[in-house]
Amino acid sequence: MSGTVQLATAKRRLALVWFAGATPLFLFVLALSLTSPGIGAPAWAWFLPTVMPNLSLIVGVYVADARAGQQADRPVDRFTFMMTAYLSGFYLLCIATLFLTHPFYAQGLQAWLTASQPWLAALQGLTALAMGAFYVQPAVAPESGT
Amino acid sequence: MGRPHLHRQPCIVAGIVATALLASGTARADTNGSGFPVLCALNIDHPIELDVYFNARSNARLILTDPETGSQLAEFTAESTERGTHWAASAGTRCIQAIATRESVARATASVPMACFAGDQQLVFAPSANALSLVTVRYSHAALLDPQAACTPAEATRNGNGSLSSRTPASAPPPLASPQPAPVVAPPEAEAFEPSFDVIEPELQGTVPEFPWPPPRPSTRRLLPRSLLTNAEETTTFGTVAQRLQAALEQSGYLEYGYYQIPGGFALATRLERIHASGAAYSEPARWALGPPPVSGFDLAAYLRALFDVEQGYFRVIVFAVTDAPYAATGASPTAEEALSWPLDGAPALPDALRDKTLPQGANATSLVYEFETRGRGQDARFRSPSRLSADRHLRQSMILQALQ
Repeated sequence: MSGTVQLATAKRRLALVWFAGATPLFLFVLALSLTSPGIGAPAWAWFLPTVMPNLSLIVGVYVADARAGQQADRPVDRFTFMMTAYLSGFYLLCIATLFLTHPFYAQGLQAWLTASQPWLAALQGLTALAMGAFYVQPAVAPESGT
Repeated sequence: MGRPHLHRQPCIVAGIVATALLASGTARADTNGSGFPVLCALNIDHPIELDVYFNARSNARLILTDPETGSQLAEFTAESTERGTHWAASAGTRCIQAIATRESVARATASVPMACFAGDQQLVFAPSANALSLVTVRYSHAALLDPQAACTPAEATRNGNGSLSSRTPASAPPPLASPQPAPVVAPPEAEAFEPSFDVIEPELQGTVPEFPWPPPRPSTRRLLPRSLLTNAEETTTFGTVAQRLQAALEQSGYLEYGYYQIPGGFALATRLERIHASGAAYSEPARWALGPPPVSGFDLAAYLRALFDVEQGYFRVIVFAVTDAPYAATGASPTAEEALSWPLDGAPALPDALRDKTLPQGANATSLVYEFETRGRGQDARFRSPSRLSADRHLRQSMILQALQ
């Protein structure tokens, strides 16, 4: 496996992971707020802080790149990228699992989401840290032969 | 507050005294042909004094008038006279006339006069001879004028259940004569349909909470055959009926219930339970849980409904009203919170005062079913009226009817 990946490619893939993962979750909460307005508000209150910081970071980097103008692509550490992508995917999967399993929880969605906050916050912290490390990492020299 | 008891004899004595006073010119008032009792001062220098007691929660009213002028001297109601009120006539007042009326249960807007029963220095007013007293007036420094015309003499004594043993009052007061304190007077024939008692049992006051009365409008209701309650026995007691209902409830899984006092009997409320659309109760613990039950097993439709929190939920409370008092369930529809508190706020058992009381022949039990509907967790439960199901189906699906049979 190659030790580097092009930064532009990595950014696109990471954005794809996040937007592809967050969009169905967003639609689910939207549907929930339409079908059950009473529970929609607490669902939004829980969901937005869960995904918006990371999505804002991704969009913010794109906006910053666009303002900076044409920049030469550079190789970055592949492990950092993969770790960030997998952590992000796992984090989004956990959120989806929480939503999909609430019908089996006797106390209901709100209590289910509230109960998940401690460990999900820890996971969100790790994911955000990995994303920060990915975006600010310096360029690495391409491996010989590549 | 204990209810004063009637004793024999005093009316005649009071009548002699008052007649003598009248003859001597001390008191010239008479009953004006109205049939309402008139009390006259024994000594003009000493004003008549009264202590007025109301049966709590009664809908009675006592008006004191001057029989000579017809002017109103005082007015008392149960609300204004919680624990008895002392009243003294003003100086110079020779006689006072006591007019006791009550709001008719059958006719909510009508005031009907009550029968008077004369006791030892006291007058007792009740809807009828069999009924519980609603107003008691103890008087001093006065004598009852023409007691035979206005009040049933004191052969009437109280029996064990608080009603008068005298079956028929000697003279029930006629409709109010002018000036009338009450706006509407019920025709005399309306009295024939009055319950034998229509007030809360005084012995129960403070021991058993009162159910909202008239009861809140139910989603559906059913009059239970008397044979179901009495086990086909000729005479039975409220206690036996309660025992049968209680046994049927427990057999059907209702282990929490609350007793309430209502006019003429008692009410028994079950706990709010979650039911299927068919009316059958959920199995525990989902039966008593307020939120939707968790999905169990593979049911895609149920899962999707639960996923989007659109699971329809039905809840039910059954109230059994055992009484001989006629009523219309016209009270405001209850909220789910109110219905939820009924079994917990009620007494856990029927008190002895009512348990030993004979069930009147006219008494029956009505099952009042209150149904609520929820749609997801985020929405409040709404009272459903009319119910999707008949009361009979509710009772059968809850297994109560089978347990009673």
